[in-house]
Order: sequence, then structure tokens, then C-alpha cells
Amino acid sequence: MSEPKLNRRDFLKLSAVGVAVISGLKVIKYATASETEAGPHQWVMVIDQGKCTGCGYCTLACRAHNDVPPHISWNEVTLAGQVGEKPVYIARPCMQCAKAPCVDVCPVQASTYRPDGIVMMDYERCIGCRYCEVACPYSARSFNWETFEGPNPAVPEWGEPEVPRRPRGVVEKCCFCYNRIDRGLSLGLIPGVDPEATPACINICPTGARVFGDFNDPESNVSKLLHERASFRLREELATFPRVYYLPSIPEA
Amino acid sequence: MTKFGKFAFSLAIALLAAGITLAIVQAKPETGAPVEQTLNCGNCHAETQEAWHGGAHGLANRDSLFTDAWAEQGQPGACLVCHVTGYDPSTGTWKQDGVSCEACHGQANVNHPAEPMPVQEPAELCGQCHSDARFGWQEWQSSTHYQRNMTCTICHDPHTASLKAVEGQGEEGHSALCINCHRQYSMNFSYSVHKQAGVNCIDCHLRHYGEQADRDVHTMPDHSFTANLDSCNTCHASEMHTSSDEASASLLPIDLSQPETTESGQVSDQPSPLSPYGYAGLAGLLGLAGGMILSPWLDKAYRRVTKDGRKQ
Repeated sequence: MSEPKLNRRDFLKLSAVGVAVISGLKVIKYATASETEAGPHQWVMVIDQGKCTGCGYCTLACRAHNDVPPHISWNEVTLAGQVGEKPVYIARPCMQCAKAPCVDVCPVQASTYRPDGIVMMDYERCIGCRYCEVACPYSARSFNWETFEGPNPAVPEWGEPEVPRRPRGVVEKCCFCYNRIDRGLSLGLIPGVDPEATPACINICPTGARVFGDFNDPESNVSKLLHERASFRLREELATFPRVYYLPSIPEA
Repeated sequence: MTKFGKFAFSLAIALLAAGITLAIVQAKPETGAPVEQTLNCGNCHAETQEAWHGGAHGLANRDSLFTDAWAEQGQPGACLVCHVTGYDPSTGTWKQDGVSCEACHGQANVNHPAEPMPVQEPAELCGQCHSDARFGWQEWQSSTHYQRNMTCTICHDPHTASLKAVEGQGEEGHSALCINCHRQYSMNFSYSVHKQAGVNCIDCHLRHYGEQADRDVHTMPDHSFTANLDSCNTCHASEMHTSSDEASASLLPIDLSQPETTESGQVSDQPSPLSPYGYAGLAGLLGLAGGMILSPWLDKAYRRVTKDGRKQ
């Protein structure tokens, strides 16, 4: 007897099962979102547009503390429009998306999630392909075309650098001053409450428009604010789940 | 010995003690040098130290504005409480020249690079030296800036002790800093006659007294940021009633003295140094007390001496 041949019907059946299994696995992987386990803290930033005067101190303090070159802003403030007579600004740090397109597209996993939700950049690993810069819907990433040399004009007036300068040929972005958060936590301080443990842009804000804290802590300032006030996030329709919330400017009665 | 005699006697001793103390204290002006100047903050914070060194805080006891005025007044120690760091009135020495790192950041923390040395409560800290009306503190407390929890360091760079520089919004000088936040008002202001005449924000809202060198030492611009009749009168005096004119004053009920909220405990808890007269007064009191107690014995001894003298 000849060996049973794989006929066309069996082949199609097997193919169908194979495709189903592979796509099923993909769906499961996608549904579990970030591969990193969520840690006890989930840092979020709340920016009150009603209080923001667009002074740009946050941008300057960020430049100094993170040694960002003058032509790059990790935190950019732009005029968005007017509510009544009042100009309204959007201050835009990195949104630290829970489902960040930049992390998805990075071919070398230089962008990763931290357990506390911060989207980290590994500048050693980055190959400068700039996929992430294109993928980011918030234009929060900037490419280093040249080595940043010489003094930083924002130093020392707006603060002192706390992280090393990035080399030429990598993409850089805001990281919620993770170094301040980590140092603060190790000293028993509370990020968002103790200035030493809080991002530089929050501390410098003259009007208190920026608030930082732990989303998991119901007693934190951010949790209370988000509970009491209506808020929105930028480009929510893209399902990136940003960790930066905005409190809209309310027209004066 | 009569009561009066006793009192007169002790008074004489008191005067003697006070006089001697005063003579000693006055004869020794504060020429002491800093005891310890070993802060090495500049090893890591070179840029900050450089900025500080050339600013008013760094120059606090080196600037000729200070040294001349200080020498003129006989180099009193009281000035040094604010003009140097860690001044010890009992020895007349201090730890560092000028308003040093330690003055605001506190004593160097042994774990420093690992543990930050932030400045706690910057507003109250500045107020320890920039304290009363003469130093601008009282007016500052009545300002809306203060009442909305703004701190000195929002406009002033504490290291250079000068105003912060922001990119000018088409404005020159200090107006750029104001307009950086008060954009709404600046929009209308651009079209005003004031603007066309070259008047800027601080000409009315932060009445200042000419150039730094022309100013009396210690006078500060009015930090209430409130324009009042005086600011108008600076230019429009001939067109207006004078500020002493009660009729016009009652028409414009401007009250600068009443802040919305006044926090208690603004008074500095730093000890104010004793002047030489303080020491002399204390010595005088001690002498008076000593004289009262010792007068019977001293009287007896005196009589014995004079009697012996007469016998010889």
C-alpha cells in the first residue's frame, strides 16, 4: 500500500488551524498590552490649563535639570486658543503612554516601560532610526543631530543637570524625571509632595498649574483632582492611554 | 551708711563697669576673618558658584557699597548677621564670606551627593534678611503674588540675586519678565499711550529708585506691585492733586497696608545681635546690683583705708 498522501482538503484544514492559532496568539499578546507588570506606583501628571499662563518656566527648568540643548524641548508649551478673553496653553511633556506607539515600533527595544508606567529610553541601545519620533502622536521625541557641547544656557539659572547628556545620533524625550523619583523614594520621600522627589517642571511652576503624584494612591493630589474635576487627555481616540491629564480652562462667569 | 549713700556708691560702680565694657567693645571693631572657608560646593556646582560669586549674595561683604558704609559706621557686628554666613557675635568671627551656600541650603550634609540639599520654604528664608518694610518684606506680603503662594525665586535667581531672564516677548528690560505671565494685560498695554511714551510695567507697579548705585543702601523697590497715586504723580504731578491732598486721597481709597491674609510668625526667629551699648547696659546693671550688695563691706574697707591713711 502506498503511504497516505496529504490531500488538498487536509492541507487546507491544517492551514486554517495554523492561521487561527497564530492570530489567536497575536490577539492575546496585544490584549495584555505592556509586557511589564504594573508596579505599586503609577505616576501621572495633571496640568491645569486654567492656571497655566504659558510662562515657559517648565521648559527652562526641564532643560537645566536634564541638560537638554536649547533647540530641543522635552516639555513644550504652545498656545492652543482662547477661552473667553483668556489665552489657553498646552504644556506637553512626554505622555508616558500605557500603550506607547514608540515602544511598539522600536526595533531594538531601546524604549521600554518601567513598572511605574514611565516610558524609558535606553540611550546606549538606541540606534537612531527615528521610528519612534515618527510614531509618537504627541511629537514628544527629538533627535540629536549633533553632540551638545559647551555650556547649557539654562544652567545654573533654572537648575543644575542631574542626568548625563545624550550622545549624538539618539532620540531623546522627557522621562518624568525618573532619577528624582527614584532618589526620592529611596530617601523615603513622596514624589509629588516633596519637591526633591518631584519632576523639575512641577516644582518650578509659578502658578501651581502642574501636579504630580501616584494614580494608585487615592489620597494623592492627582487622584483627588481627577476625582473632583473633569479632565481630558490628548488624542484619547488613539488609545495610547497617556498618563498626562489636562484640566480644561473654565470660562469666567 | 544711708540708703542714698549706698545707692550712689553702687551707681558709681555701675557706671564704671559700663564705661569699661563700652571702651573695650568699641575699641575692638569687627575685623575678624572667616573662621572656616572650606566649603567645596564649587567642585561640582561650578557654574552655580560662579553665578553666585558675582551676584549681590556673593558680594554681600565684599562690595564697596557695603564695605564703605560699614566702615563709616564703625564696622558694627549687627551688619554681619546678614552680610556674612555663620556670624558669631561673641567672637566676632564668621564661617564664610557673603551669603554663602550654607546660608540658604543649610550645613553641608555628609551624605550630600546622594541626598539633595534643597532650600526649605524659600520665601520665609529670604525674609530672614529681607525682613521688614525697609527690605521690602512688608509690602511683598501685601502683594497678590505673595498671597497666591508665589515665592521670591519665581522672579529672582537666588544665586545671582538678580532677576531671572526670560526670552523677551518683544519687550525690553524687566517688562519681559512681567509679560511672561501677564500676557493678557500686555496685549492691551501695547496700544496705550503709556507704552508709546516708553513707560514699562515696573515704572508704575514696582516703583524703584533709580540705579543701584544712586540708591540708599537697603531701600527696596515697592514689592506690593500696586500702582498708587505716587506712581501717577511721578509723571503727572502738574496735572493732578498732590498725594497729601486729602480730598483726592479720599476719592481713591487705596489701602496698601492691609494684606488679605496676614500670617503670624513672620518675625524672624534669628537672634538679633547685641550692640556695644547692649553689652555696656548689661555690665552697668550687674555693677549696680553688685554695688548694692557689696556696698557695706566696700564702705568699711574704704573707711579702714582712709583711717589708716590718716594715722600715718
